[in-house]
Amino acid sequence: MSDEHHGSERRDEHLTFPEWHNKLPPIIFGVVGPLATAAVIFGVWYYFSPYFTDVGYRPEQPVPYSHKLHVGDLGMDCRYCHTGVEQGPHAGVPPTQTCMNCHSQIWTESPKLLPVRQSWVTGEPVPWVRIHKVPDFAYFDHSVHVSASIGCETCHGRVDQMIEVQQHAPLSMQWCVDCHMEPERNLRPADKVTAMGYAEKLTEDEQLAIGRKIKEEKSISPPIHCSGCHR
Amino acid sequence: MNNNKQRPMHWRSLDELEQTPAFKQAMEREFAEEVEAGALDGTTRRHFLGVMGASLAMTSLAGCVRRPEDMILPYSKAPEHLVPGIAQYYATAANIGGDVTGFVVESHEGRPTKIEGNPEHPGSLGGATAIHQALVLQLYDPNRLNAPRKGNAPVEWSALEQAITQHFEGVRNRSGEGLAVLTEAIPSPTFYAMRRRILATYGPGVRWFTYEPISDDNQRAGLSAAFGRPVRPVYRLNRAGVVVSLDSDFLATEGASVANGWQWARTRRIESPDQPIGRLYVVEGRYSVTGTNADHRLRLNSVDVETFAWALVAELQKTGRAFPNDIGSAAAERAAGLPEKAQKFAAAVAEDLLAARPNPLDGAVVIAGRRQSPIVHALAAAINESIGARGQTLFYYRDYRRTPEEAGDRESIAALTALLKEDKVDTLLVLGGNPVYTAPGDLGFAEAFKRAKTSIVLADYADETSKLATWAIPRAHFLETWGDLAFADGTVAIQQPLIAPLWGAWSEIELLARVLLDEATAGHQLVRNFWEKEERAFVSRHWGSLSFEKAWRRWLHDGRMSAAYFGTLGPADSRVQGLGQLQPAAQPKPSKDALELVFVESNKVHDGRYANNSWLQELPDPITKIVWDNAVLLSPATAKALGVEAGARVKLTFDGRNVDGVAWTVPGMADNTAALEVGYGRDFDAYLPYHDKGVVGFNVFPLRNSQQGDIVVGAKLAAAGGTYQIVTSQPYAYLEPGFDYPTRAIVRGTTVDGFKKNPGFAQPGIIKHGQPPPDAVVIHPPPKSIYGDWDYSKGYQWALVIDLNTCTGCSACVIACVAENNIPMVGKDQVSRGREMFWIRMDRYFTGDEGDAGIVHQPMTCLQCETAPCENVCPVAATSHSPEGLNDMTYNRCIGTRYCNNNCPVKVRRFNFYNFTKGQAETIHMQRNPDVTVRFRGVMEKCTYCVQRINLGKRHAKLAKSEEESRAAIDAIVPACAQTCPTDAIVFGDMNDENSAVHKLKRQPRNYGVLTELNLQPRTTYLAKVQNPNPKLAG
Repeated sequence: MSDEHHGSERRDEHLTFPEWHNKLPPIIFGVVGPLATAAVIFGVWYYFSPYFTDVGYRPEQPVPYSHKLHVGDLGMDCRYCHTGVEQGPHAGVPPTQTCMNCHSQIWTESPKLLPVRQSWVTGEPVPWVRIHKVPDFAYFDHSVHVSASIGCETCHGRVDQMIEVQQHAPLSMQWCVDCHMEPERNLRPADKVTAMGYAEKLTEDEQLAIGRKIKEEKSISPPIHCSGCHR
Repeated sequence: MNNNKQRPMHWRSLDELEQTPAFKQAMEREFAEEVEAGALDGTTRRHFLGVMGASLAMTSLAGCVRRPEDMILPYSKAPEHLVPGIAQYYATAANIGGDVTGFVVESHEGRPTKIEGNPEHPGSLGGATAIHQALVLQLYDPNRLNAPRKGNAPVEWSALEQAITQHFEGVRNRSGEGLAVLTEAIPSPTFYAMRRRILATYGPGVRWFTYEPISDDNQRAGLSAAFGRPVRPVYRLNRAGVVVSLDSDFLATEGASVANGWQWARTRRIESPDQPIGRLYVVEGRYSVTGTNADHRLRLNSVDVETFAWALVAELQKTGRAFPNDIGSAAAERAAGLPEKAQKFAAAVAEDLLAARPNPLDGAVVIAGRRQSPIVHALAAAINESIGARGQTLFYYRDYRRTPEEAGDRESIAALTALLKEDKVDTLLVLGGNPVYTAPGDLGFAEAFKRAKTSIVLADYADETSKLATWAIPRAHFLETWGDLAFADGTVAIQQPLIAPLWGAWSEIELLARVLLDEATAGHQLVRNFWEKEERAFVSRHWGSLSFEKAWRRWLHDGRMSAAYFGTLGPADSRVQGLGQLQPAAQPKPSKDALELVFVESNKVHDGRYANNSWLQELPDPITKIVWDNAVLLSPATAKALGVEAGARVKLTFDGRNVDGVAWTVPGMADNTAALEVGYGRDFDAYLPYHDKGVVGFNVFPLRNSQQGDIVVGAKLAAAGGTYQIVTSQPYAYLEPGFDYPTRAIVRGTTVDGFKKNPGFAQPGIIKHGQPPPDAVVIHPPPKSIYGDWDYSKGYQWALVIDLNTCTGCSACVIACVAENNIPMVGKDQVSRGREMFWIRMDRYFTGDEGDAGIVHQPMTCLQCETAPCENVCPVAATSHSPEGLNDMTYNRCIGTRYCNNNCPVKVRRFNFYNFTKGQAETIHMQRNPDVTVRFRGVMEKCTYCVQRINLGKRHAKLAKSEEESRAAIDAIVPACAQTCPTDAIVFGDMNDENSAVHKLKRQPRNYGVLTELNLQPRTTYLAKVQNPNPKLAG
C-alpha cells in the first residue's frame, strides 16, 4: 500500500542504499571473505583430517578390558597377548584362550568377564571393536617395524595408562612418511621396544643421537616408494 | 613366397602375412576398436550431472565421519601354528583323468587361495599347468552342487544317508544283482581296496566299469600287446638328445606333462654355441603345443602317422637294428604309400636316433600320442627297445589303473550302455564324471541312462548326468578331501584337505564306504586305516624305524611317499614281444570330401569338466588364441578348398550324425584334417557381470563313436550359412610397423649353426645408455626421467629373464598370475573389445609360410623399463619408479586417464573399464589373495613382478637370524609365473647379486631386450630362441 502523503525526497531516501553500504564490498572481499575462506580451509584441513576424526577414537569394547591394569599395574609384556607382532603383519588380538590362561583361575565369577567365558564355552569370538586401521590398499607390517626397533608406544601411545584403548596417532599417509623420512626420531634400543614412557625421558638431541646410531647399525632405510606399502 | 622381402619374418595372422588392406587399415588405428558410445545410453546429460553432483556431495560427507565400525574377531581357541596374516602351505595332490600331480597349496586363515607345484612330487617337480592353477577357482564355484538332490529336488543329508543305507542293504541281499558302477579313472590305492571289497562282498552280480572320455585305451592296448601285460611308460627326457613325438602332446595335454616339460627343458638350455642341445621331431596332423616347440615338424594326417611309424621301423632295420618277427617282416610293406617328404623325414629321424651324441644328451626316445592307434604304441615301444631307450630315457611301470581283465574306456561305456538297454541295471552308481555328456555319440547313452531303475550320481554340478539321476550327491573337491593318489611310477601322495566341504560333500571313497555299509565313513579314517592296517607290511618295510604316526606325518609333509607302492617292472617283464593280435584299422585316405576328424582334449576345459571355470574359458588357447569358444580347426588350404572362411558356421557330418560348429584356420595343420576340441557346448553358469550366461562353443562328442577312437576319416563339412563371432586375443596390441623388422624384431631366434656363426645374433638394436647406437636403428635420445635418475648399482635390483628356448607356450603362467593377483575375468564381449585383464599376454607368432608354419611363443608382461615411458605421462604420479627398479602402480592414485597405456610401447597395461569384480558370489571372494589389492573400475593395472612376494621375501630377510638365512630369503623370492612354469623358462632375481641365476642369464649372448632402441632399458629381457634343425633335413 503506497503512502501518498510523503514527498518525493523522502521516497528517494527510502530507495537509496545508505552510504555505509559503500564500505561493504571492501569489508566482504578484503576481510570477511579471506577469514571465512581461511576458516573453511582450516576446518576441512583439521576437522576432516585423521588428526581430528581418528585420533582419540575410543569405542566401547564388549569386555571392559583395562590395559592400565594389565600392562601399567601388573606389568605384563605386550607380546604375551599380541603374539604375531614379531612374526607377521598383524600383532593380533589374542584368542579367548589367552584370556582364559589366567581367568580360569582368577576372577572366574566376574560379571565383566562373562563375554570371555561365553566365548570360551561356545567357541564364538569376542567381538572386539577395531581401533587402529589403515586403508585396505596400504599394507602395514608389524614385524619389520618391531625388528627395526620402533617402539610400541611410538604409534600406540601410553597404552599402560589407558583404561580403555584409544587411537594415539592419526595413521595418515603423511604421518607414516614423516617417520619413513626421518626414522632416527623414533628408533630406540631393541630391548626398549615394548617399554612404555621411554621416549618422554629423552631430550630431542639425545633421541636423535641414539636414533642415528641405531639407524647406522641396523642400516635402516625405510621405503618411501609406492610399492613399499601399496600393491 | 615370391616376394619374401616384404613379408614379415614373424606374423600373427594370415592377414598380416599377406599384408591385406584390412590388416593395414587396422594397423593405422592405435586401438582395436573405437570406444562405443553406447556405454551411457539411456542417460541424459541432466541425469548424468545430477548423479555426479550427488556422488560428489556424498563423497564429501563420507569424509567427515569416521569410517564404519569394524570388528576384530579372534579365534576362541586358536589353531596351532596359525598366525593371522601369515600364509600356510600344505602338500596335497590332484587327479585329472588318471594323471596325478602333487601340489603345495597356499592357505590364508583357512582359505586355500593358490595352488603351486610340489617340487618333491614326481608328477610336478615344482611346476603346474594352467588347469592345475585354475582348480582353486573350481573349489569356490558358486554353481557347484550344494545339496544332495532326489529327482532334482534338494533333500537333507540325513535323508540321503538313510536312503543310501536302505537301498544298498537291499542290493546286498540280492547279492549285488543289477548293480553297475561307473567310475572315472581314480588311481587311488584306498579306492582300489574298496572296489575289491565291494566286488567280494556284493558277489558276482556287480558290474564295474571305468570310463574316461580322454582315453589311454590305445596306449594300453598297444603296450599290452607289445609286452604281454598292461604297462605304462614314464619318460626321463632330461637325457634325451633326440625326442620324436608321433602325434603326442607330451608337453601340454598328455599325461605328466609338467614333469615331461621340466625334463625336456633341461635339454634345451644353451649358453654357448658349443654346448649340446636336444632336438625335437614332431609328426602330427593338428597343431599341438608340443608341435610348436619342434625343431622339425612334419605335418601329416593323423591316420598316416601309423605308416610313418612303420617307415621309421623300416629305416632302422636298414641299419641292422633287430625287431620282433611280426614287426620286422611287415615293416617295409606297411611303410609304403608315405609321401616322399615324409619318407625323407623318416630316414633322417632314424639316422638321428642312432647317431652318437655327447653326454649328457646321449639318449633318444620315441613318444606315441594317446590318440594314435595301438599299433603305433607297439611300434614306438619296439623302436625304443631297439635304440636302447628303456632304462635311460624311458621306464615302464605296471599299469595299475585297471585289472588286466578289465576292458578299456570305450568298450566299458559301450558294455554299460548295452546292459542298460537290456534293462539289466537296477542300480547305477556313477562316481564322478559326466558320461551323459561325454559318452560317444553312437551309443545313445542318455536314453539308456534313464532306464536304470535307481541311478546314484556323485557329481560336481547339476550337470547333464546328475540332472537325469534319481539321486545326485555333491562330490568333494580335492581340496576338501582325504585320499591317496598314485603317480604313473607308483609313487603315492596322500591327499589332505585344506578346507571342510563348503556345502557338504562326499568323496568317492566316502560314498563307497556307505555302499559297503561300513561304520567308518570319514575320508580321514578310511585312508589312514587302509595304510595302517591293510598295508602294514608295506609301511613297516619302508618306514619300519618310525611309528605309523610319524611315517604318516612325513608323507603329509612331503606330499608323497618316499617308496613306490606299485612295483616297477623287472627287465624280463618288459621285453617287446611284437604286435600280438593288433590289427591295422582300415581307414580311407582323407580328402576334402572325406575329412579326417581328430578329437583333441582341450588345453583349457579338458573334457568339459572345467566348462564353468571363467579363468580357463577366458584363457586364450595356446595355438589359436581363441577365448570362450572352440572351433573346427582346418588348414588354410583345406578351408579354401571347402569354400569356408574362418568364422563361417559349418555343419559336420560323420556316420550319419552331425554337429554344428564354426570353421577356423590354423596355419601349419595338415590338409584335409579337422581338429575338434572336445569339452565345449556346455553351459557357463558362473556369474560374470559383463558376460552373457549360456552355452560356450560347440559340443563335438556326438560325432565320436565307441569303436574307432579319436581319429576317424570320412566326415563331411559343409557351410551352414552365416557367420559366428570367434574372439581371439591376438589381433589386439599389434606393434606399429614401419620400421625394418630385422632390427626391430620382438622375437629373435636362430639355429645352432647361426649361433655358431654369429654368437651375437640376438644383439642388433640393443643399446645401453651413453653408448653409440648400433647400425641402422632409429635411436630414441636417452629420455630424462622427470622424477630424477636412480642409482641402480646398489641394493636389490629385480629383474626377470624369459628363455624363449624353453617357453612351450602352455600358458600356465597366465593363470598363475590370475590366481595370485586377483585379476578379474571380463567375458567374451569385452575381450572382443580388447579389454581382457590378464597381466601376461602370451604372444604367438607364426614363422615361415602358411602351409608349414612354425610357431614361436613369447610371454609379454610389463617390462619394468628403467626409463619407463608410462611414468612421465601420468598426471597424478600414480605410476612411478622404485629404487629397486620396479615400475610401481599405485591404484588409489590412478584417475584413469590411460595416458600410460597410450605411451606403453608393448601395450601390457590393463585398464579396468567396468567394475569387473562386482557382485560375484561370496565364495569367489574367498579365493582372493589378501596381500593384493582388489582393483576397482577406472584404474590401470599391470604386472608388478608380484611385489607382494618381494616384500614378503624382504621381510623374511629382515627377520632372518644370519646373513645366509637372509640371502636365502631373497633368493627364494619367486613371482607366481616363474613359480608355476613347468620348464623354468621364467627366472627372477636380484641382478645385482653376482651369484643369482638372473645375473648370469643376463650376461648370456642370447639375452636381448625388446624395443631397446627406444631406450627403455627393460628389466625383463628374453633369451633368444635357438633351434636345432637336422642339417640332413635343411631346405
